[in-house]
Amino acid sequence: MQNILYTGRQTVPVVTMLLLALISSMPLSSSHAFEIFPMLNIIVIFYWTVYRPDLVPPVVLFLIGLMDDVVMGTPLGLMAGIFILLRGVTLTQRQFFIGKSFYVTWLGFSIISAFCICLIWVLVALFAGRLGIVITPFIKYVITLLSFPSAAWLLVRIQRYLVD
Amino acid sequence: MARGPLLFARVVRPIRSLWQRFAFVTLIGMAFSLMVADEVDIKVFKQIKTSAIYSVGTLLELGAETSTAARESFETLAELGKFKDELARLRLENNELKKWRHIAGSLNSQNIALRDLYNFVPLPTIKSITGRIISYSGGAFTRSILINVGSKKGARLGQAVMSSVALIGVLVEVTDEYSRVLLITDLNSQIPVKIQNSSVSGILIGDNSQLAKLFFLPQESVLAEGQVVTTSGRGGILPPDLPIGLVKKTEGLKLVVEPFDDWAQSGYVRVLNFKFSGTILVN
Repeated sequence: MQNILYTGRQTVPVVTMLLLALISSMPLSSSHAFEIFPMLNIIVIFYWTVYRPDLVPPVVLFLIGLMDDVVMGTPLGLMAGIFILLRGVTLTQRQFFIGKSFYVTWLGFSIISAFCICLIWVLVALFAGRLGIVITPFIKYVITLLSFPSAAWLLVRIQRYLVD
Repeated sequence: MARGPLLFARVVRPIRSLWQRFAFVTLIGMAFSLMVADEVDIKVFKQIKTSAIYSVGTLLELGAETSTAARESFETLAELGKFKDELARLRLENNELKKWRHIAGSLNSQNIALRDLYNFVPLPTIKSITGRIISYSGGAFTRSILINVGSKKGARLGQAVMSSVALIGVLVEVTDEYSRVLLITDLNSQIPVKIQNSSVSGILIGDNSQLAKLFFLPQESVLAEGQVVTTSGRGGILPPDLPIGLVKKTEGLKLVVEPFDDWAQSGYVRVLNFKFSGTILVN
């Protein structure tokens, strides 16, 4: 029983990512609401990679990314590649974030997430053969950045009471 | 007796350490290969994607039904106070519609008589299949929706999809149970259109914003704000005269179209089963 509970706890990060991938695409009563919805999956991947990278295996992240591609309609492999890249870049900087204040982590997130969102925009434009507008992804980036503190607060609680 | 540890030491451990070293590069390479395979339309790969859409679609449909039920309950509770006024309004509207039904009937008879007189060849009948929206891509990088209408219900690639009043997109992926609709405002969307009651036609191309842009218009064409844009039917893929939106000029005099409907409100769309009868002979 203890083993089952322990295994269940270890899967909490993956479950949060899966749920977010599904919930973030649920149809709301207005399409405009999606314009201001933050990219929570990037926040969650960044957080778990910094604080519990052992619970975010790259293969699982890849599969969640593929699921995100199917949901979002992006070319299959695009979000999977972005998630792996996000994990890889965050892992290289992880030692810098550990033990530092929250604002340092937030600043690090702002740089890494800006890079990821720019890359998604470039790749989507490359496959479409045409440039899309910049303002919507920029708004999404700003909202994601502003949502980071509240999302991190929740994730800290989840880690404290469910995982560790 | 020592086979277990020996196997682990000689086989599993080296593989594991290799994987830990090259996982990042391997997975990035796989992601890139998948993107290229998706673009090139490899058949085997398409089947894998179809299975993935089916698996994800089942979960999304469950979630969509739950969220729709919750939303409708809240909306019903909020509107309880307005039922009496709404009922009075609907009665008035119904009486008005009854008058128009007689007029429509006589116009229809006249139309049939005129068609017989001139041997008019009508467009094929358009049947529609209603489906529920089960997911939306989010809007910043792609604009597409998944609906619970698949090939089993008659959906086919390239069919037009409408909200209650206007064209919203085209089917770009069809599986047995689910389909993906590429919205007209998506970066990859290109729809042949015309301006209603004029000979001006062009191509409507999306850019991932709330508006879509008009390209390839005739050089001397002059458009006015507020003109209705409809499908032209060129190419024979989409039915003609489906309303899309209104012409809206931006500050830089670029011609953009504001789509008519916020399709998200109803949560349902109609897939138009449109097909030209007969075949087109090509030399």
